[in-house]
Amino acid sequence: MATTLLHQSSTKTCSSARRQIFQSVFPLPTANVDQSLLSTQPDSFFETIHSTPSHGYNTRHHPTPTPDQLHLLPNPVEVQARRSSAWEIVTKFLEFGNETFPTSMLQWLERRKVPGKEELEAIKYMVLSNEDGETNGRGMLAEWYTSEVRRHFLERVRGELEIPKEYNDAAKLLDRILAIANTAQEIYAFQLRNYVLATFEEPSPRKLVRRGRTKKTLDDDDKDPRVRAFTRTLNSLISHSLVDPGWSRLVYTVFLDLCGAAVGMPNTAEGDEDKMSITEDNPEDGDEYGQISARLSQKIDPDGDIIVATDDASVIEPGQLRGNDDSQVSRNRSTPVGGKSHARKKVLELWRLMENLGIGGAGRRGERVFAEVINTLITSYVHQSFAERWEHPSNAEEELTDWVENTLGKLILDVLFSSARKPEGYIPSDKLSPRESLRVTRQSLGKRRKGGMEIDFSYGPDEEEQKRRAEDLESWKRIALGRLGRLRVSELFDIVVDWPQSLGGVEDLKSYITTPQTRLHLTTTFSAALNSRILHPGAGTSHVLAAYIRLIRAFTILDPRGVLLDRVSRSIRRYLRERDDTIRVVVRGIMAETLPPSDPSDPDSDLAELAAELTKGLPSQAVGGLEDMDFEDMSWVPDPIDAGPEYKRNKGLDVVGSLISLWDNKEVWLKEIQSVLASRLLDNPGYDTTSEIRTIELLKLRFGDSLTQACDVMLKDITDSKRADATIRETRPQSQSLDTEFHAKILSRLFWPQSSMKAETVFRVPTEISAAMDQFTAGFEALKSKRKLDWLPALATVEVELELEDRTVHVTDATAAQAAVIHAFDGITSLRGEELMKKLQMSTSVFNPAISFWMEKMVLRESEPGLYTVCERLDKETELDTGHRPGNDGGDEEIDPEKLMERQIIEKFIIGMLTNQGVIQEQRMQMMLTMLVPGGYTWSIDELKEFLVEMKDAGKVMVAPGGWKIVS
Amino acid sequence: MEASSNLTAANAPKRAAEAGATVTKRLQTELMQLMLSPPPGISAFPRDGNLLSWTGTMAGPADTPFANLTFKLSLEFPSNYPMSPPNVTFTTPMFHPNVDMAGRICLDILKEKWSAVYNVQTVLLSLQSLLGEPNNKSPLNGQAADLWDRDPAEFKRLMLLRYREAEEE
Repeated sequence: MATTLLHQSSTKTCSSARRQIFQSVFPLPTANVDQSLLSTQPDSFFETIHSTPSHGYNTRHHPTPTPDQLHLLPNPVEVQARRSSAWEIVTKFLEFGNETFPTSMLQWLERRKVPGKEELEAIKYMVLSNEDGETNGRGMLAEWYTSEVRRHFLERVRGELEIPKEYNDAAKLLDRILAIANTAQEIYAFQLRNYVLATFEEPSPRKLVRRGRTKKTLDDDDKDPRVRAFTRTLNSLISHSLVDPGWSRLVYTVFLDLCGAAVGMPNTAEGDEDKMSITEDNPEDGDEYGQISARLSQKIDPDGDIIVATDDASVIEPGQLRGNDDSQVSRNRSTPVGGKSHARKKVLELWRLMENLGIGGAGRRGERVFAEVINTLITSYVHQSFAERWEHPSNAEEELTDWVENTLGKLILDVLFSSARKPEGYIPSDKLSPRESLRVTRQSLGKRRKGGMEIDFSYGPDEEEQKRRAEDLESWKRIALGRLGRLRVSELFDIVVDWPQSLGGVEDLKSYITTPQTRLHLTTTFSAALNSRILHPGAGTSHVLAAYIRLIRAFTILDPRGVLLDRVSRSIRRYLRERDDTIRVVVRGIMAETLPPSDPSDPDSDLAELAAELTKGLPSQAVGGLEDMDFEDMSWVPDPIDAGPEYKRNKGLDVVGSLISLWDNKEVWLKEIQSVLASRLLDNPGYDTTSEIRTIELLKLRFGDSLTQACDVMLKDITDSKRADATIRETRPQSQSLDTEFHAKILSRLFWPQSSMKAETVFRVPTEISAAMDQFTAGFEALKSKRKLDWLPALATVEVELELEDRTVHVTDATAAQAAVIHAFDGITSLRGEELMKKLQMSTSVFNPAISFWMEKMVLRESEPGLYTVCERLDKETELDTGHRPGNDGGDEEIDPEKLMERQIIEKFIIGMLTNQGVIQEQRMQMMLTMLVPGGYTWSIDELKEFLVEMKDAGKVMVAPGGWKIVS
Repeated sequence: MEASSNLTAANAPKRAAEAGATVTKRLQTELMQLMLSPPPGISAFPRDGNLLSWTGTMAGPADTPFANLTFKLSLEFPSNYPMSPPNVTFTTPMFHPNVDMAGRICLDILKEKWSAVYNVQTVLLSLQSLLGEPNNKSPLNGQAADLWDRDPAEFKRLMLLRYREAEEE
């Protein structure tokens, strides 16, 4: 009753015009509303509003209705009751209960019941009343709302944001989480703005408003410390519920994929393509994907209107423009969906969402993850694009710089810049508290100092910003080039091995090794690779040498001062010095030019390039140590700072010189050079020594005249021989030089290496030859008195031409023994082996190889054991031969010389053993032979027993109690 | 071969394992040489397959009291052979001015005059010539030294007596 009365009285106090206005705005409660306590609310509001000046004043500007304007001072008790009932209505209306949010704001709005009149009035009452008093309704409501949001979030939303330990589709998961969190935040913020902080300047929240106006309100709202405080609380809540490391890993995974696709990573793009095609195959998925995207691009107007965020498009626009070009490219590559632009759009979208949630940039978590993503991207881009691409001239650097500048840099700017453009939920840095801004500055300074990814968020169009962005770009370039350098360093061994096809790789490195640290890194890494890949017993000396030669060349380009070469070559030089055959291989390489074109299977032929190196002569700088005194040298630079104390300049410029300096003692080289030279000169059928003279002259530059004296004598011997040979031949009677051309080389015994003059193989040379030899001797002795000739027929080379019935066999490089053997068949069809050996006075070890040489040439065949026949006709003989073979093998104990040699050795060992140790059992004998016979002993015990019996029969050993003993 | 031995000599610090390998390699080479071209009246062979201890056999040189006799020796090679001399002793009982009753030999090249160029063959040849030309200035066996010059017949009798001892065993 009392309330009615109040109502009546208040109505009376109003002018009827005013009442009409109010009633038009706040219609009287309808009949179906419960008339009890609730029904009083509109009245009370009516009264309150009534007391407010309504001519365009904002309540906030005049928040306090002056008491004297009230016609009736409310009873405190009634006020209390009214307030509590309004409170109840408002909180009931605003509370979320156990509601689970739908995935989009739109759905929620549809589901959300429109606040009824009484709710509206209750809210109005709560937020507008007593703003100045001790009971601040709005403040209390805001406080309550905040804690309600917290409660609801923790109870209902947080669970949804949990990241499962295992997930298949990271992108979808991230989408879902972001959508949930964003929707929740939108909903919370929506309620706050529209109800808790409502100003009621526009009386109906449901009424459509002009957009521009709305935006302004929005901006105003953002400046409202209450909204900011609320958003901050909410953001920190969300941020805390996205637990690391799961969250960061998830974002990292998704961003890595997307950014990779956006910047056109070769592999990631493919991977993306796959993913996309899968999505396409599954239309449901695709739809859902699209829906989420659509949902995400929706923006909720604070007044509850769904508008499509217009400025979104402007953010994406540059990406889209470029994306069009890209998508054409990708269409060509048949990537229908997973184009760069798509990925780029998606990245920006996700980033914006994260910004909204306060987990994006501006020193927040997203920034760190994004930095990691970019870091990984740079590394993998460098690896995928440039690994093992060493073309010359290298454009890797330009390509990389271009990529960073135009692709990566733009993406980074877009992402980070987009945050600057997003006002919602974003706190511009100039509005940070002084402490916060100091922290952020420090962070970014720290990052800058560490050379890490630098991200500045306070982008503005001003000059300083531009400058800073340019700096950032520079540092990204620096980082990318550093990565390229590291890649090249790790590849350096392969680069060296591939030399010179890998020149480009070395060029890339040049710009990397500009600091002592990088140089150290290079030498350490390379030395380790060297040790593990080539400096082990498995690698052949010629391979090690070849690697060393390439290393010298590559490092000379890389670092012309030779400091790096000096450092990395130490271990390989030390290793080469330990190898026994280094000298031999090197000398063979150096003298390769004098070799006949060697077969490609020869491993030493790798080093034939050494000969070419030798002809380059000495590098001019290496003459003396005088280049420091050359004051005219305008290109002079001091030694690098990391040059070691033992550093010798210019050492590396000369490949042959480097190899020769492996040993300080030049004698070892000379010895080898002499023996190679000797074999060259002796193998060469003529007297032509031009190439040898040239090589030796070049070597003289290295070793000095005195050391190469012996070589000079050897060469002179050959030229002298030519003259002597010609002179003697002229004096020779014509009749004797008819069918055999005979030339001799006269060697000065003291100056030729002894090894080349081994002449144990003595046999009787054919009479024609020995006659020629005798004649030559006589001629020589007449020419040079008091000199004696010793013939070395074993060193001779014979050119043989055999005229057979159906063919002519021509052999240019037969040995003297081979020639003697075939000469014996002159005019004879077949000969017995023993006869032949007796006739030629030849030992088996010489005879057997000679005979088999001719049998291989199909000139002779063994028609029956021990009987050798000339194959006059090839077709007939081969038939016979094939028919004959089996009989030959089975019926004959013909032992090949090696086997014979083995038997001789074993016999000698057995005799030695028995002589010194008395009686020995077969078993022990077998054991000792296994241990002691050089070259391995493979006989079985039965073979040994058999052999012992043979020896017993020959009267060399005898059976004794407990084994065998020697016959003394 | 020459180049390689130069190289090994140049690398002064050598590990023990390498040294061991060098000894074995060297002795194997020597054995091979000895087997393939044995000097007359001299033979040697590793005992029980251990390359570091050999048995040697040597014929007494003609025109000496030792003619027509065969003597056995034991050669023990140190692990740093050929840097140090082998330890050579007669296992056949010996009566000789420079050999003591235990078979130990006083010969300068087996002591201070050792050089790495000596080998089993040269050592045995030196010992063979030592039998015919003892160094009586620093005898290990005074009686033998005394009798060598003064009474060759008595020397030979005593020597044969000792030699027989072994044969009878």
